[in-house]
Formats: sequence, C-alpha cells, structure tokens
Amino acid sequence: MTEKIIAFFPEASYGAALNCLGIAQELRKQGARPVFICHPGFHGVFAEYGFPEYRLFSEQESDDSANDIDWTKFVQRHREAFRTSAFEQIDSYLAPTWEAVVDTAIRVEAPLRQLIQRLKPDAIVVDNVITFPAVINSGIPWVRVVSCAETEIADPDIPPYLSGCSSTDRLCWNEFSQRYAAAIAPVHERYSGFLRSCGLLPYQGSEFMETSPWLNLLLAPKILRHTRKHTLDPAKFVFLEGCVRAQEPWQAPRFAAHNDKPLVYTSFGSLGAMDIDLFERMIQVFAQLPYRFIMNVGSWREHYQTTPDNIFLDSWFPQPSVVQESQLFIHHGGNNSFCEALYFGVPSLIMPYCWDGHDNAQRAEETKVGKQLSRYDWSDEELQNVITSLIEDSAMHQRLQENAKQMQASNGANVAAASILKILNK
Amino acid sequence: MRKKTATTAIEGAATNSAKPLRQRHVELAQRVVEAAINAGIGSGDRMPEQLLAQQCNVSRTPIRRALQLLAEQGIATVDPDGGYRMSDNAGTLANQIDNLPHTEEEQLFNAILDDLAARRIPTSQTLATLQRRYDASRLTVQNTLQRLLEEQFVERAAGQRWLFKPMVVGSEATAQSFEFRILMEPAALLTPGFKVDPLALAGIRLSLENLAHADEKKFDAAVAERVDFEFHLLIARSCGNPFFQDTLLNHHQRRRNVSSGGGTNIYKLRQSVRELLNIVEQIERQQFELAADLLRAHLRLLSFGRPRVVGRSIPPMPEAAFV
Repeated sequence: MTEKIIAFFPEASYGAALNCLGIAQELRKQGARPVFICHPGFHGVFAEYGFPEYRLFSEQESDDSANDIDWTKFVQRHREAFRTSAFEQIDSYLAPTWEAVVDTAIRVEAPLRQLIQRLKPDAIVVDNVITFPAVINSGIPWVRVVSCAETEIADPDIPPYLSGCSSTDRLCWNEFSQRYAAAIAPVHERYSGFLRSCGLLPYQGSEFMETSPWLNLLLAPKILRHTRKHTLDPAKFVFLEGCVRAQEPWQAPRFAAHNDKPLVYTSFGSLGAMDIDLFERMIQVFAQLPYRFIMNVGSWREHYQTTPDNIFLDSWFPQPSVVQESQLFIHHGGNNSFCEALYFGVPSLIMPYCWDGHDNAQRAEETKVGKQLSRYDWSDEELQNVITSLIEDSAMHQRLQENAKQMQASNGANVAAASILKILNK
Repeated sequence: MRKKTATTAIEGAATNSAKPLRQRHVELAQRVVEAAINAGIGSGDRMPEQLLAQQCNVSRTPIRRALQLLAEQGIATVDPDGGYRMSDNAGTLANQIDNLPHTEEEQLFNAILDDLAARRIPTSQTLATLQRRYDASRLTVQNTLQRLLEEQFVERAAGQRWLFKPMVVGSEATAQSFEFRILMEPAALLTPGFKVDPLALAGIRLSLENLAHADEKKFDAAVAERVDFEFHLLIARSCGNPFFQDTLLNHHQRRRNVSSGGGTNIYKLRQSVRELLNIVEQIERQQFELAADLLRAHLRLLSFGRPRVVGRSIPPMPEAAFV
C-alpha cells in the first residue's frame, strides 16, 4: 500500500498550527505522510517537527503583498479593541477581522488550487474558520478541524460563537446574534459573491465555513462540552479530548527567589504579548507573590529592562512541557492553551481579549476548571487574590488531575489520526 | 528580602575542597568518559592521558585533574603502576558527575550569569553590590569576578565598576549571534592555516555517530548539545588566523552559560547531528570549501526563527510594523 499523503492547511496561528502538529505526529506513526501547506512567513514551524512544508507564495510574492497593507494601523486599531467587551468588539474587531479573513481566502485561492493539484494529497485537513473553495472543488476528501471553542459549530441551545455569553443567558445570545449579523452582513455578502464565482452556493446566516461531509474533528474535551439541541452525527463529528503534541521534557530555569514554590505559566499567545504595558503591570504584581512565574513575552523580550527575582521571561517556551510542570496557567482563552491546561490537570486563569477567548473564559467559570478576569479591569489585590486562590484550591486541582488522567488515556491525537485514515478507506 | 532570597543561589556550597571544583572540570570529566568509551576503553583498561588529551583537544594537565575527579567518584581507579584505569562500573556512574557539589565561586558564577541573562541585575556592578545581593564574602566575589574576567564575560570600568558584556539572550541577540557565526565560522574553516587535530576530530565524529545511531528514546540531548559545542570550539581553535580564533572562542564562551526557557527540540537536534557528521566527513577529506558551505547551511538552518506575530488567517506582519 502506498503512503497516504495528508495535506494539513492550518490557519496562520500557533493554536491551529500546534493542534495540527499533534494530529500529524500521530498520522506519521500510523504510516501516513503528513505535509503542511503554509501561510507566508509561517514556514519553519512544521519543519522543526520533521514535516515537509509547502508555501503558498514565494518570499518575493509575500513581500509584495505585505507592502499593500498598512499593518501598523491594523494592529493599533485592534490594540484598543482588545480593551473592550465581546459585544463592543463586534464592530471594532470582529467585522474588520472577517474582512481580513475573506481577503486572505480570496488571495490564496489560485495558489492553493495549484498547490493541491501539484501535491495530489489523499486528504486535506483544514483547521480554519473559512471555506477555501479550492479545497471543496478539488474533490479530495477533506476534514474540518474545529480547534476553536465548541461554539464554532452553532446550535440553538448553545451560546453564539465569539459572544462570551453564559450558557443560560438567552437574552445575551439574541442581542449578540442580531448585532453580529448586522455588523458582518457586508463582508458576508462579499464572501458570498466570491463563493458564487467559484461555483459554490453561499452560506446562510452568519456562517463562513461549512461542515465537512467526510469528517469534522472538534477539540472540545468532555468536561467543557455543551448540551446540544441537535446531536451531532457521531459518524461525521468526532470530539477530541486534546491533541497535545509530543514535546521533550522541560526543566524550569533557576530563579533567584522562591525556587521551591509553585510555578505559574503566563502566555497570551503571539498577539497578546504585544501589550507590553499590561505585562509590565502584571510583573509588578507577580513580584509580590511567593511563587515562580514564567512569562511568554513573544517577540518583545528586548523591551523588558529589569526582571524581578521570581520571574523568568523569554520569547518562546515548549508550552505543553511547561504547562505540565505548572500549578497555574494564565492565558487568553485560546482553545489550544485551554485544552493543554486541562490535559495536564492545571487550573486556568483566563484573561480574554478577543475571539473565542471570551467563550472559553465564560466556560471555565461555568465548568469550574478555572476563573476569568478582565484583561485590564483589575486591581493589584484582585489579581493577587485570584492567583493565590487558584493555586490553593486543592479540590479543583484534584478534580482536574482526575479529569486529566481520562483525557490523556483517551489520546485525542490518536483518535483524530485514526478517524482521518478511516475516511480514506471508505 | 531581596538579599535573603538571592542568597539561595549560593547556599549549600561545598567549602571543603582545597581548590575550586569548577563546572569546566566537571564537563571535562564527562568528556573524558565519553572519549574513553568512544576509543574502546573498557572496564579495567588503562586510560592514557595523551590519547584522552588529544581526543578532548586539551593539554594533559586538565586531563590529569579530570581523571583525579573521576577517581574520586569511583568512575576511574588509581593504577598502582601509575595513571588511571577505567573502573568496572564506569558506565553507570558517569551520570553522577552531573550531581557533584559546586563550590561557592561556581554557584556565584552561575547565579550572576543567570541573573544577567534574565535581566534581574544591571550590567554595571561593583564588588560591594554583588557582595550585598548574594551575601557572599569579598574573596568569593573577587575570585568569581576574576573568572568572569578571564572568560570574557565582564570588563573593568572606571570607578571600581565592572561592566558585563552583552549576552546571547532573546530573539534579537540570538539572530545577531547567528548572523555573526554564519559569516565567521565558514571563513575560519577556509583560513590558509586551518589545521585540525585529527584525533580530536575523530573523537567528535565517534560521538556524533553514536548519537546518530541512537534511537529516539535513547537520544541524549545533553550529550548532543555538548558535542555540538565542542565541534564549534574545535573549528575556532583549528583556525590559522589568531584574530579569528580569539573572536570566535570569545563568542562561543559567551553564548554558553546562558539559561534559556526554550527547551530542546529533539528533532532539530537529531537533524543537526547528521549535518555535523557531513561537515566532519568533508573536513577529514580535506574538502574545506564544501565543509564551509555545509557549515554555513547548518548554521542557517539553526537560525530560522519563529513567526513574530500571527493572527487569525492573517499573514504575519512585517517586522517594520513594530519599529
């Protein structure tokens, strides 16, 4: 039997990329040949784990395109939006982001079509929030990975995607849905036109992506799962208990203080690390606590001139291995981070700022696997108290540890890989 | 409070040894065991100083000291006819070298470098401020500063001050370090007087071959990192141009001893072992141009950084956006 080529096409975010890596590692073990289709500038991430990478554009093409967009203004606009609520972000962040997402989908259509023709994969695994017509029109079996919160697959009985509404507040659901639909209507219409031009039917409501007729993988551990009105067909929808990638063991660096005390890992994702003022403020609070703090400061390591004795900053950490060693994980509610915390039985303190972070922060409180705190609206005392209370909550730690055993035993990445290979044998 | 907590870095230091037991001695002892195993020296066999000195690319004096250390740990035994022999349980004891007690100077040396790398202390220091922070004696701080001076981490400045040099910490400094090495290391290999000790190179090749053949679970990342470092040191030492040599050795020294939070990527390390084996092979064949090209490619592969900023379906932003 020839090696099956599985082409992964994750969006250009670490969450999706690393989630796909976990599945790809399992597929490789099971005899398939995973390859990665890369967004510009994302190459190297998959090669580090030994997977072939195929770029959608040449370096020259990427540079030419980047010059067309004023990313500085784009970022500055979003930085302010991150200070607002999920509702306020509908206009200030979600609508413009959908515009950018649609732009990307249109721009990659031709090179993606050509690349798929060249690669001739046996299956395509898409971890994204938008349909790429080139994938659908290729006729190749494709898999949708939902690595965002479960709310991404809508249901009348669960809160709307990206709303941050609680599971019971239907007033909140209705208000958010109406406002969201109105805000994204123009970009949805533009995208519908694009779908039609590619020979596809547009989507109803506020959808930008269809479910796969072959297989859909949802990164939604049982402990977080909602009760749906319409049960998802188990033949086509597989829930995963975490797709944590294999990473080498990690040893905490030596601190100049509190070396024997609990370890707290803080990472807000690559975009979240941009707010240096916020991190500086958090550092001042952390310095007063009798714990060790590891902080992922992304590309801004050089901006921090002094560091307290109980804190260690760096631009990158092997996250799963660090989370495994931690007693608390402070993050932005990215689904991958949230699932990694659960996978290792570590409580989450979620300080959301955008996208499904709001949904996950709300869900962490509801399911008692952590707490949420506003990203900006907190006093030093509040932050200190919430950290201390989560570290000292032994009942929560014990419950999470028991849940982690089940998650690890269920081996989500293995289930995902086996499910993908199964559709090829149909 | 600060003083109290900072002292934990040097608490428990061994004080009974007549001469300071430094990290480099421990590391050399580890290299000696590896070199002996690579050279086929088994239990009860003699451990010839000259052979080990060549394999480790050092003189016989430090080898003698490393053997003495190994004998203290039971890894070597004193031969009644002079010299040392490999003990019966050398293989199982080799890992114990990692756990040797460190002297006060050694602990202070590491604590200062860790704190500098983590930006916990400013780069300009006085003996008195270091004494206060680490609750160490004047003599201990003096000795440690002397070693830091010898190893090019610090220089004397006006007004009794000591000025620490930039370290290879953070993505920007790491990128700059690779930029420097991509220029310098292949050039060093191509200098007219480049002459490598064949035994030292053979020792590195054997270590690399062992690593290349080890299966994934038995692959020892710490050994791979050490062999990699020795290879780059050997390139620098073998260079015919003393200015290249000095500059490269200084740089290697400074990029070492830096604690990073990044961990180790085993796949990348295994790939790196294979690349180094190719380079060693070309050096042994005296194909220096080819070896230099491979070395450049090896360093460039190592230098690939991660995307700066990524967003939902958004191509990473150009660096200029953050200037």
